[in-house]
Parts: sequence; C-alpha cells; structure tokens
Amino acid sequence: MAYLLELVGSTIIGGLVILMILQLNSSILDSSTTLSMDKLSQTNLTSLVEEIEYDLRKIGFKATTGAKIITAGTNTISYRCDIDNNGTIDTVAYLMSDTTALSSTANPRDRLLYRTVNGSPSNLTSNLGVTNFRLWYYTSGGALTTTASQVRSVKFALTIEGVYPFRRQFEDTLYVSGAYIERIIQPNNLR
Amino acid sequence: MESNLLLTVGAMALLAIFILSTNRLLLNNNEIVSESEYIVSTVSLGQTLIDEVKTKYFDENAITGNITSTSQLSSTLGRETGETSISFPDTSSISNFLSNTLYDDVDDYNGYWRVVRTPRGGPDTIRARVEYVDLTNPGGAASGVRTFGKRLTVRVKSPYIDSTKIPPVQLFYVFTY
Repeated sequence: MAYLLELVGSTIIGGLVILMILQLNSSILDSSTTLSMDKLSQTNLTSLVEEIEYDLRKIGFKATTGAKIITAGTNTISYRCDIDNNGTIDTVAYLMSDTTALSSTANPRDRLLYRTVNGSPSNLTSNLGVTNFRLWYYTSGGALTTTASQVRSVKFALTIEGVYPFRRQFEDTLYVSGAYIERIIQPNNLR
Repeated sequence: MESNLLLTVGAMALLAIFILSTNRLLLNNNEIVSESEYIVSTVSLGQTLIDEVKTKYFDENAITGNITSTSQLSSTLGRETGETSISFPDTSSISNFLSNTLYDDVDDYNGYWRVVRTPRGGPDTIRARVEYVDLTNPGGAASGVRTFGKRLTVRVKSPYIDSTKIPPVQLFYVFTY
C-alpha cells in the first residue's frame, strides 16, 4: 500500500514539475516573440522616418518656377523637386491606401504607404505595418493651412504596428507591437 | 521514506526559486521592451517641440531689426508684456497648439508646457525651459548675463515610463544669433 502511495505521489509531483517547466518555456517564447516583433516595428518605423524626412526636406529643391507643393492632403502629399539632382524636376508623392489593400493580413488596421517619383512605381511597395500616416501644414506664422502655396513647414506623424498580432499568455486581447513618431520639417526651399 | 520526502521538498523549493527568478527576468524584459516604444515616442514629441521653436525668431528684438550687442536682447526670458498669454497645459487634438501662432521668439517658450496624446500612448507632458548660456560652454550652467546663445531644454514625461527607474527624457538645443 505504501509503495502504491509513493508511486501516485511521485507521479503527481512529477506531473506538476513538467507543467511548471512547460509554462516557463511558454513564457520565454512569449517574451522572445514580443521582443522580436517590437524590434521589427521600431526598425521599420525608423527606416521609414529617415526616408520621409529626407524626401520632405527636398520639397522645392531646384524648382524655381511653378508650384512647389502640388497636393497637400491629410495623408497624401505631392510636390516638385529635383530629387535625384540630375537637373530634371521630378514629382514626388506619398499616398496611403485604404485598409482593403491589406485585408488579407492579420492586422486589420495596416495599410500600404506608397512613394512614387513621376508616378512610378504606381503600386510597388512593401507592407511595413503602417497604420497611420498623417500630415499637417503650417504657414510662416505657424497657423494650420491646407493651401499648398502657403505651406512653409510640414509635420508628419507615422504609426507602425506589427504585421502579425498574436495572443500572449493570460491576455484576452491580441498583442500588437508598434510605435509612433512625429516630426516637423522645414524645407529650405519653402522659406 | 523520510529522506525521500525531504529530497523531494528540497528539489521543489529549488525549482520554485528558479522559476520565480526566471519569471522576474521575463517581466523585466517585457517592461524594457514596452518602455523602449514609449521612449521612441517621447523623444519624437520633444523633437517636434524643438522643431517648432526653430521656426521662431531668436529674440523679440530681432523681429524688428538687427541686434549688434547683447544689451539689446530681452532681459527677461518669457512672454513679453502685451502678448497674448496661453493657459497651460496647451492641448490640441489636431496638432494646432496655441504656441504655434502666439509665440514668436525662442524665449517665449520659457516655462511653456503642453500635453500630447498619441495614437498609441499618452498623455505625455512636455515642458520647456529657456536660458542664456555661455557660447564657449553651451552645455554648462546657465549664464547670469545675456549672451547670443539660448539653450532650450525640453523635458518629456510619459505615464508609461517608470520615472523611478528611468528619468524623464530630456533634449537640449542651443540657438545662436
């Protein structure tokens, strides 16, 4: 009888130990996934911000005649400048798709952010998890404006979220990594 | 029987200690990961305020003419008499802060503060301080006399960053004339 009790007891204790180790393993996996997804989102964000900042600073570069900003929308901008410094004025545009463009992805909010130079490539981009790209335009006095000819500085805000939301331990809602950044750009050629 | 039980209890205690410390490590790790997102965001909010101040004149007296001597600079750093004041905190849901239009020079931002909400966080509190600094040592103590250098200190506090562990983000920018 004692032998049987020992056997049952040790089986229960052994089972508990295995459960604890499995739980620990799951926690480590969770933490590692969170870390990777957050790092990916932040890397995507900083890369995109660098590119947008560089491009927006070029607004009006060598465009001595005609309008420098063509469209000044809330999530669309197109402007003229010699972006590749080859003596020809180009039209650079940033525009956002709607959420249906990425309806097949796990994150329902992600959208495509297009960058085109002279209209091409028209639909070539990659999904970096952009969920919000917002633009504001200011006059020389700092007032908000939507009139392209009055714009002296441009503020943009970018939100990036993880492309793959996932469920973490003990959480009911999906975890979505991400980050937010905003910048004000004062292009030299708009002064 | 006795020794077996003791060994089992000892082993379980060791395992529990190991699991608890690993969990603590993982929690700290998750906290650092989350805070890194908010640090990116707070730095960008601080940088936005600096970018805004960069669009303003160096001094109130530089708006109307050239300044050739430090004695022509504002003696007090802050809003000039007669200029519309802002009730703090300055808030705006559409990036249209009152400072944008009501402030015209760098030192107007001395004592200014705003509260900003972002799509993924906030409210972040952003405070600005402006002081004259010696241009040969712009990172040093504030100058007691007027100089051609004004240092803007922007301090951003996020509710998601534990200030007992990580001090609020501080950004500095020196404006020269």
